[in-house]
Amino acid sequence: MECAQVQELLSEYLDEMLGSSLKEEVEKHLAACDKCKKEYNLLKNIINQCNNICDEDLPDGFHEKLCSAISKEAESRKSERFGWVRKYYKAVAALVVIALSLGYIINSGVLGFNNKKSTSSIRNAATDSSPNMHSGLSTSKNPGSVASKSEAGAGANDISTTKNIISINLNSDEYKKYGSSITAIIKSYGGYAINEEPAIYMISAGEMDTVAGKLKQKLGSGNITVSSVESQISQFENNSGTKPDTKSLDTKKYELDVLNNNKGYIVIEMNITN
Amino acid sequence: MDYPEKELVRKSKCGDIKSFEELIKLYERKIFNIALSMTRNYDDAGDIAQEVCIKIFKHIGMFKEDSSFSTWVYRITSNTCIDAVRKKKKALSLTVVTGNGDEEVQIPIEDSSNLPEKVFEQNEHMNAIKKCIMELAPEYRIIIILRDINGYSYDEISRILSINMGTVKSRLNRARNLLKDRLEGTF
Repeated sequence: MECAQVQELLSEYLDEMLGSSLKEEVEKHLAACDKCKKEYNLLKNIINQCNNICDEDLPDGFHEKLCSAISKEAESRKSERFGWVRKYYKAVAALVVIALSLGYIINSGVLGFNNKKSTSSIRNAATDSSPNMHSGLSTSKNPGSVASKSEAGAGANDISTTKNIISINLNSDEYKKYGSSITAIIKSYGGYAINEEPAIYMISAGEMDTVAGKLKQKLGSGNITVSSVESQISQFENNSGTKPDTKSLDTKKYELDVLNNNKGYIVIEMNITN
Repeated sequence: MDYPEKELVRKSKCGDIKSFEELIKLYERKIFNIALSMTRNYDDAGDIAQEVCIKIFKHIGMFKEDSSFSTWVYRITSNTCIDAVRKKKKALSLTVVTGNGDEEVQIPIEDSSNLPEKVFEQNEHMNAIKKCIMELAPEYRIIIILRDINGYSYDEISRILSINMGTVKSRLNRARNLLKDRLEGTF
């Protein structure tokens, strides 16, 4: 073994991470090479010194200060959570009234529309997953569509469309191929993980366009959507055609909580399908 | 009553603040010391540690109980420390526009709160090592702190930093060699 090769392996050798045959070769070389032996001793000495660095005590009052901050955080979360519930119950109540009215209008045939066509346009409008869903709702003139709800319902106008989530949609093969590159991109712009499954990261809002651009470059535009968590929640709640996906809705509500508690940040969510 | 950690995690997830306060007591000193090793500044380390603990409180609801709580805690700690170190480095740089106005130069400003006399050390070698660790880039600094100061395994480091094993090995090797090059002649 050459000296350069051995010196590359010294770190793993000191941590007993080499397989037995490589370990034997390194030991054989060290026994015969003073230069590499010196490098080994230097590295070992540094690691030993680092091992001996002891933990310092916490600053005075650290835990008490933390408990006080946690109480304040718990209080502010409680009032925000109730505020959120109040806001969305208003929207849901308004939508129920409008849905009942629409149901009557459609079934009575007053406007001359048949049931099947009106129902499918409600379902299609509700399941539109593009970031422009909300603007699409407000411009549709079909009285059987969800657009009527957003025009008539005071609650729907409360939904923010400020972009605050980057959704990365991959299948499992794409995730195996690109997963670590995606994490590296996010981290290189100061992002960090806050949840494992689904993988959710937080990043400064100022980095959103740059990171979205980098991700689109890496994965293709089709795999990346930039939208608002509020509009995604509205989409889940308005989706009357299929059984509500409570797990995804819970994740969205968690993301909204995170954003409300961390102004100036956005979330990045990685969705992996089979 | 003393509950085992798993029970404290479960109760904390359900919103039991007292249980969370007991739980965080198990980690706060280590969190503070990782931050101190990253910043070598007591005030900054205290602030970062507070920030980390509050983040853990905010997000514990989404923590999956079948995974390792300590890995999750130290992941948040590492990421927050790296973020803080990068922000401080940026904030401590002075941007100077040259005479003709079309060139900017970043000049790093010495952080006077990190003067060696603020940190009492009996061992000169120890002081030299800590100083050299501070001179490493954040991603090298954190891996030395996790492996050589705190003794986490390669596998644990891989999960904490969300990097693969190959990256752990190469990054640790590089970090140690950078330290060795700076310290050569001191030992």
